[in-house]
Amino acid sequence: MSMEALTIMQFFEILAAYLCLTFLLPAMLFRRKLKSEKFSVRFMTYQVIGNFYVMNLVFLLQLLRISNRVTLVCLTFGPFLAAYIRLNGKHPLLAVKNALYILEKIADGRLGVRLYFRRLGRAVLRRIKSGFRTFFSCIGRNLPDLILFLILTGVLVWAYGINLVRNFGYCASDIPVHNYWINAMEQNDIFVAGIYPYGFHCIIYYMYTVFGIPVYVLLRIFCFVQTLMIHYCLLAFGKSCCKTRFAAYAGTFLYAASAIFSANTYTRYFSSLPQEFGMLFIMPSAYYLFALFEKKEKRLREEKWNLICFAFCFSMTISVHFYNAMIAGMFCLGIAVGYCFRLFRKRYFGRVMLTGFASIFIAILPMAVAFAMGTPLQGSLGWGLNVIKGAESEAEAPPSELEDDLIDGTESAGGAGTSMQIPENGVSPSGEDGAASGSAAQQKKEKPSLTEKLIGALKRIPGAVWEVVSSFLIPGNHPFLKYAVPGGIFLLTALSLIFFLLKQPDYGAKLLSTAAFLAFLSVLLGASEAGLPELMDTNRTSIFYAYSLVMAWSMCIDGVLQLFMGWAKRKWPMHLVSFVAAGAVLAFAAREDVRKELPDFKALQTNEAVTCLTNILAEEKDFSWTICSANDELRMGEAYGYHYEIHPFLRSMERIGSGANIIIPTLKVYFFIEKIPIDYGEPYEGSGSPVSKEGAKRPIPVGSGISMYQGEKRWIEMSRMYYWAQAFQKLYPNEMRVYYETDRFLCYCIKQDLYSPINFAIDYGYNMTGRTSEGNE
Amino acid sequence: MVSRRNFFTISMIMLVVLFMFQIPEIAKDRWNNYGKNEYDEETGTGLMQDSVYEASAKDAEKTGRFVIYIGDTGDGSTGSLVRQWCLYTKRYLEEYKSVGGYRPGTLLPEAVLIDSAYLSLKEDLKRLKDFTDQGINLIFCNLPKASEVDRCPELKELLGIRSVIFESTTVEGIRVLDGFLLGGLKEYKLEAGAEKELQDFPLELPWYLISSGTKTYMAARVEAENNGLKNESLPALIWRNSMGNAQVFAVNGDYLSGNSGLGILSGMMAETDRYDIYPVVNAQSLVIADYPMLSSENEEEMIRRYSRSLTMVDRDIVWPELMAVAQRNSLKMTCMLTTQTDYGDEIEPDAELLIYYMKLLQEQEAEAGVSGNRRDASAVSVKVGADSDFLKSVIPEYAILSFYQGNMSGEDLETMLSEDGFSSVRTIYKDFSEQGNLIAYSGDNVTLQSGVNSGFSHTFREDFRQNSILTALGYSSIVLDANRIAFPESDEDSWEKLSERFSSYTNTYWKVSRKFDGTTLAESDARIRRFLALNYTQHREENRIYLDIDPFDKEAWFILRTHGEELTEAQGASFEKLEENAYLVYAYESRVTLSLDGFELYYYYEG
Repeated sequence: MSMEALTIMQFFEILAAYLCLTFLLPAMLFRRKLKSEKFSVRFMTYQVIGNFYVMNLVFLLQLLRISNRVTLVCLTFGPFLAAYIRLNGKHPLLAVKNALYILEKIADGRLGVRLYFRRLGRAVLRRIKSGFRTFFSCIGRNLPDLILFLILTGVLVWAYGINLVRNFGYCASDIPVHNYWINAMEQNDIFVAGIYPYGFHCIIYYMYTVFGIPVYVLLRIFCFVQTLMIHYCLLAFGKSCCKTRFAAYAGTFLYAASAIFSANTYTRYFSSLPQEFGMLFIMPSAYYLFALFEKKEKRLREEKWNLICFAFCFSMTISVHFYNAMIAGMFCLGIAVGYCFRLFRKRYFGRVMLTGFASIFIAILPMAVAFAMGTPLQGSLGWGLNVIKGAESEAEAPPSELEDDLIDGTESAGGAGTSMQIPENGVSPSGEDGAASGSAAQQKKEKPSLTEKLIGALKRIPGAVWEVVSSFLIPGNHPFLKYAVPGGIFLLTALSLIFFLLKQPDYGAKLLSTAAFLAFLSVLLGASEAGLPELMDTNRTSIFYAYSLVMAWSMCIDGVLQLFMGWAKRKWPMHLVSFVAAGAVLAFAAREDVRKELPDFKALQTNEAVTCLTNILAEEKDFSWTICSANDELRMGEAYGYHYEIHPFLRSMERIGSGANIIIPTLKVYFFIEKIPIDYGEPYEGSGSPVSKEGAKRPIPVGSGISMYQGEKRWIEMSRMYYWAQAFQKLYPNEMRVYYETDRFLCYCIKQDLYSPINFAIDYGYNMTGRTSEGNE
Repeated sequence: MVSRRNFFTISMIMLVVLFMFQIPEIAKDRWNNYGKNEYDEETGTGLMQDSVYEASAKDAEKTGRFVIYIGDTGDGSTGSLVRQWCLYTKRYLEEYKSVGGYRPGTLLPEAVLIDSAYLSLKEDLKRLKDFTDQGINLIFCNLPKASEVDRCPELKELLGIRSVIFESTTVEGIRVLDGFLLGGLKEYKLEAGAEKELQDFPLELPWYLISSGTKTYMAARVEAENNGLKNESLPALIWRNSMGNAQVFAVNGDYLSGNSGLGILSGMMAETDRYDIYPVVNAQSLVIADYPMLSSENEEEMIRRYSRSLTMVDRDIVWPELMAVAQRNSLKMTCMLTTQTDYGDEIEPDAELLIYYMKLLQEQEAEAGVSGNRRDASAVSVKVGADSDFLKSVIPEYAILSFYQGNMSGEDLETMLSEDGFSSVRTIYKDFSEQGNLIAYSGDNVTLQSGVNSGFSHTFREDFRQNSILTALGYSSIVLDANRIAFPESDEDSWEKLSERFSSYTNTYWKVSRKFDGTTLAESDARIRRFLALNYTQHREENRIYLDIDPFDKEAWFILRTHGEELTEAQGASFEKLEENAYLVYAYESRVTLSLDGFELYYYYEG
């Protein structure tokens, strides 16, 4: 079977498992309760409930240190069955009693077996027929939706899914660390590297433990599942808020298919990262607030559902990644602006505030418990707290999880997967620092007051935002799209005022809330440029900005259509126009100069390495093998075998040669060598050069961690490994065989007898042992 | 009251049952052709001593199988082992008394085997190193004294010795690592409570710590392991060092000084290349010497011990156990009849008993031979005459094909074989000896076979020997000396103890051997004749090995040893996996093609 086919099968396996948890099971429970809601609302609700339950179940069991397959399965399906029986009015005892009665009748001869089975068959057939009828009538009623949904899915497969079968490895340098954290959860060691929002890790861990899908496979493939869900949630939110049926597709199509936003806004979708997973819950949390405020004040007492869902959603944004909580919080602020006429009424305000605190409490509780038990904060969390305290100006960038985590010296510095450079136009904080290097007295004299600084910064904000939007967020040659950013905000504001005047305050408030949210987000986006404290770096803000902007544009379309056609009794012309608008946007997004290119987002690992690892896991017994390679395989195979890094491997025999003693006590030892070393996030002038004697002759790099495998250092390490392998194969021609080889990769396998383990330290001609050799002559 | 109808039915059922049991017995008895040796025609080959293939220098150019021996092949020790091994593996052997005597020509040998007694440390090491640069493997059949090794850094480098820890140390046992000899990993270390007699390996030896670039095949076990000494630091007994373009093998001990070392040489040669294919006999026999005893001798002792005569003991007590063990281990028995051991007494052999045994042997597909043992000092002519007359009178048409030499001298043996009654003998069977030929021709048309193990003992060295000879020749033979039952010398010779040993040793240590064919001596004889007569050439193209056997007579067996490759298909042959990386190939045509499975990713590949 090819790796591509395997990857596709694994994707469907993961998708099915995830949908089972976050759609099927919640739907079975709450189908009746939510039957009056739109499908989009039901979808969001199932997502929220499923994820919330799994996440918090794992938190609970992990903190109690009893998390394993048995407890997870029992505490998933036990409560599910109990709830199912309760919510659907099922009486299991009665059912058993009935069954026994039927058996009794059959045994007595009062009921013939054939008759019974004929009845049973008929009943089953009737159910199947009824199911099919419902299914096809549902399709018939929603055919345009179904078509657009399938198109959207197709677009997403094109834009993101294909990369799964083109690049098998992890596409971000953070993922090995997340992999490590999830691996540790197998030993009930949650927060192994300190307290960190573990929501995403809980979901992956759950799927690994319950469904048996290896963590490395989940982290390779789950990114596409979550990308699908992120887009579906965006669509569901749009469909829930818009008055027209298809306007929401417009924004979603534009976001999914077009490359109008800088690549930075979507490249992280190629990786399974917590921040992106957390985006699932931003829009639903806003929706539940909208839904709450739409309820009449008198009926609020009965209204608990939306508050609960909001609490779940908001707590998950905190549990998964704090940045999501910041964005969700901003949306809440926007909603506070939009619904200010209701918010401050006693009944609304109290409930909303209480729910807000409850959601924060739910999210913080597991972390607080861990903190109380003595677990320190994880490094990046400490950075976040510093930012909140205002001490961030010294911090240049948020440390990726890698930087502080490592822990065992395997990985260290590195970006957060993507590293777009922000053009240094305008005044930057560092520029300010530089300007402030004059004499202390002069500084004191010229130092403006806080108010003046704030006013100055606020004045700079519009320009700064425009600068970031025009040069960074939408870098292409589409001026109308750039203008559509402020235009959209203004249009939403204007429409909202009109709808207030037209006595449609709920709809107007929604539009105003969205506009206010975007305005706040714009401030965040331009904060760095304007010289304000940078709560979130521009790179990341732009991801959320693009995600929110497209929905705002959809709402603009919807608002305009509602304004001009919403008054009509028959709504189908308005829906038809919205359908046309969605189609037009799709056609625009599909233009050659606009659409996303077929993805080939290079992983930080060769495909061959993943192929070999997959084979090794399939062939070998657990912990009977060791992989000696650069980095990623350490965490990928941690739960199944051992790993030896090539840097310490080479270092151990440097200048000593065969005098060293390198024993790797496993039956098989695999060596992963890149004949053309990859660029691990750090290109250098010789990028793409094959391993060579020149590389092997260079001194072994000094240092530790991931930096040893970046840039030219990787080339040196791989060159040395290549020539080590050549020399070693000469010594052990029968024991060392080529396991897999392509033009750019080579994997050797050495089988050894553990009663007489091989000493891997040899003089390979380049390890400066003082011998005359080609390498060090 | 039973009705007539029921009575009739019951009677019919009883009759049917009676016939069911009686008819097969009657049929077996009537159609049992016990008076004729079925193996006489089955195993006839027409191959004689002159058909033995001995490789010449010309052949070596064609086959590439050529080794040099630095030593003396007539020394009855390492030299004769090397000579024998070359004969069996169809290698051309050149012998030199010193390293300097050999100058490599155009045809380079596969290996130079060195008896260190013929090695000059001052002069020869440079030459040996040159040999390795030319790709000639070296096999040190033994090593100079440890003190000499320690003083000679060039030799240490050549052998891959990092240091000499002790010039002499006492070890606890020996470990043979997996993949060297057939039989896999073996631990020859006495466990608590085990009989001390089991450990018969020499345990005083030098402790060499070997360096990187080496591979150990046999190592000693020491007490220091309990204190955390790691496997890689154990005293090495047989190992390999990679030097230049070749491999240097070293043997620390006397393991190559007798027939037990045959498999070591084959194991070493298998390690020098990606694969090795060599001919084997594929025969293993169970020989019951001096059984059955046809005259009731030593009656007093037998009555005392077993309350019955010797012939009854053999028939009622010994035979069922022998049959059970043979069947369980897929062995065929060859019973060496003893008409009498004392020709001076008046106790005569029982003709009816012989017929009874001949029928049993026929049913069990076993073979009857004659034992040469006698306990009295009568002349061989007396034994020959008496045995011949008795056998002729009872089973006149039965051709005696195998003969157990026992305590008979070589001259007596010749006399006996020259007699008419024994002119049909094709193979002589003798007990194991480290020196001398293991399998060979004893005359123009008579082969010689040796026992490998005694059925009543299985020491560590015997186990090692069994695996070694099995590795080299695919040959094994257990000899059970029934004289110990008939003439016990102590309580240890009582059958209940001997049978316990026999069954437990055979059932336990015969696991690997079960893959080889169980044969009678007549069948082994035919296979040995074919084995000694055949020659072969082989070459490999990609994943296919082409084997040409010439001369080829009906069938031949080979062992294929690989390093991780799987034998998947054979043309002109069938095969069976013996263990990992070892296959037994049965060639039924003279041209054989073997397909090996390359190293492809087992499950998933990049599309």
